[in-house]
Amino acid sequence: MNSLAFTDGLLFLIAAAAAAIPRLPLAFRIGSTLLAVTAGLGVLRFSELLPLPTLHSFFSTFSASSAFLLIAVSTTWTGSVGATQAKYVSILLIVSGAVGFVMVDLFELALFGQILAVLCVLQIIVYAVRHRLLSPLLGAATLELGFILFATGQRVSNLLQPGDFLHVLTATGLALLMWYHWHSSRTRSLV
Amino acid sequence: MVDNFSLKPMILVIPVLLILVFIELSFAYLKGKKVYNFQDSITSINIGLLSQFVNSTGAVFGALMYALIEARYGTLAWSTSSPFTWVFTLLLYDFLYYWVHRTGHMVNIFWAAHITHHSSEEFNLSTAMRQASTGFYFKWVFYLPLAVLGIPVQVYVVVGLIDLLYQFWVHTRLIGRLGFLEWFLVTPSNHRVHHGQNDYCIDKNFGGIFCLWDRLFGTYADERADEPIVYGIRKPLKNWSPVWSNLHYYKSLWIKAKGARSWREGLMFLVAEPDWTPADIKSTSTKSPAVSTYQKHRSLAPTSIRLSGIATTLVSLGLLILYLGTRDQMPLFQQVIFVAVAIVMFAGIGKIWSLEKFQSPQNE
Repeated sequence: MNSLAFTDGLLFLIAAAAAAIPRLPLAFRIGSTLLAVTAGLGVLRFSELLPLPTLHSFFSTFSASSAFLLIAVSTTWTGSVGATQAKYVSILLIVSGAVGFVMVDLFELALFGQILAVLCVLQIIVYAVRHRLLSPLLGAATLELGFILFATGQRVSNLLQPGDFLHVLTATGLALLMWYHWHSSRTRSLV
Repeated sequence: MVDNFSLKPMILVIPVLLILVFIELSFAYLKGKKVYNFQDSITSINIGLLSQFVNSTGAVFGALMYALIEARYGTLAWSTSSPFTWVFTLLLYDFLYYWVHRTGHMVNIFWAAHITHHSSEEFNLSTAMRQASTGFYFKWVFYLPLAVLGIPVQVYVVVGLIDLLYQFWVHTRLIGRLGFLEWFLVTPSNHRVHHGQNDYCIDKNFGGIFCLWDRLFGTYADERADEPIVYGIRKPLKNWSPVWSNLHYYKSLWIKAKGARSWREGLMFLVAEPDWTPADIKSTSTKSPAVSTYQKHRSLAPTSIRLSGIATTLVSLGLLILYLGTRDQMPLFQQVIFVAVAIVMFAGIGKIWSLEKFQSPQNE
């Protein structure tokens, strides 16, 4: 068992919690579900309990193309049909996933998913700055930091690998965004 | 070219389907039932042939994506000699087909492709051949779970063909209800409902082989003895062109999206359900039609023009067989020429048949 299993476990817990809260926007919950499944498979893979590396790779590509897009839509277009209605969330999920697989597997643009994820999170940062929203700004910045540390291959001796940074910072960023959605939905329900 | 000819399953299947159409036509004649209309049936067959020209390339794209995903992400190993593999794949494929089909009815841009299949005002075996030429670009996505499970591409292709061919025989008015089979299988009776434009038929019975999925997800409807079904679509095509039948709804979508007041509204026209209108605009949905008053599109073209339709169909069939049998060895340029010739032929015959002077709507 290595550190990746533990940090993926942390991401799994946070993402599963976000997926399970009915009050959060549907697109946010579906995006979190995708991350939770990927992280869960990561735990199984890195702990060697039940390694399913190809399935984990599939969901990693799927998450990169779709999960962050759904999270960005739910944060920046709160209340839109793409954030709240099952039919339109499903269309977004399927179309973005399909485009992702065509780009990565047919055109062999391996970085497509990562670039899309970075752009989606950047969209949240722009939105948060414009609307002066602290927790989504911190959340999105944390997610971006995770992507950067992972892409540049940062590690702390043998303790933390690049993937650990990605997992921990994605979990932290997701938790901050969850906090934001939780509070905005509470405010909306009080109004 | 003929030296390179290789016999593909579809080359054998198409003549068999045409023979079955002829058998149904003969039975209907002997029983004194009028379930065929000449122009409608020839148009349906030509739409089917056109779809084979176009989809033989489109299906390659779908199969290629499937094979890529299966090779890269396939999780489990399946034996092609095990009956379990085939039964499991058939069940899962049919379940996924249900969602492909349902999406084809619920999302406007996908309905633009699938509407071709529903544009006939008749319901017979030739209607089954009326398949869209433009649906290939999205269908493959729905079957990716099979690829991720590691189901081999050859099993996926064969099961897909079985699922498609099963759906041929259910397009008939000559077979009544089939007792207990109605509970779990797609039958002529419950598929007639799917092709109806009566209120109770709209968005019902999406199953391919099994109607269990419809029962499970609340989209099942039984055929009603007290309300005869009016077949077709609410805004009739009124045209015999195989090419136009594939494109007309895209044009109407384009006009709607272009006239939208915002990009969001334009996008909604593409992804919302077919009768969607913005909340502040009055819906233009039409009412449930009645068999007694519904006027089917009819044509009174002279015999020579009708014969030209048969000639076009036979020539197209010959070209298609040649195309399917030699396509693998053809350079892309030659493939494009073949398909373009077919499209021009189909568009030409459709244009002639749809001339104003040959149109004469009758009350049936």
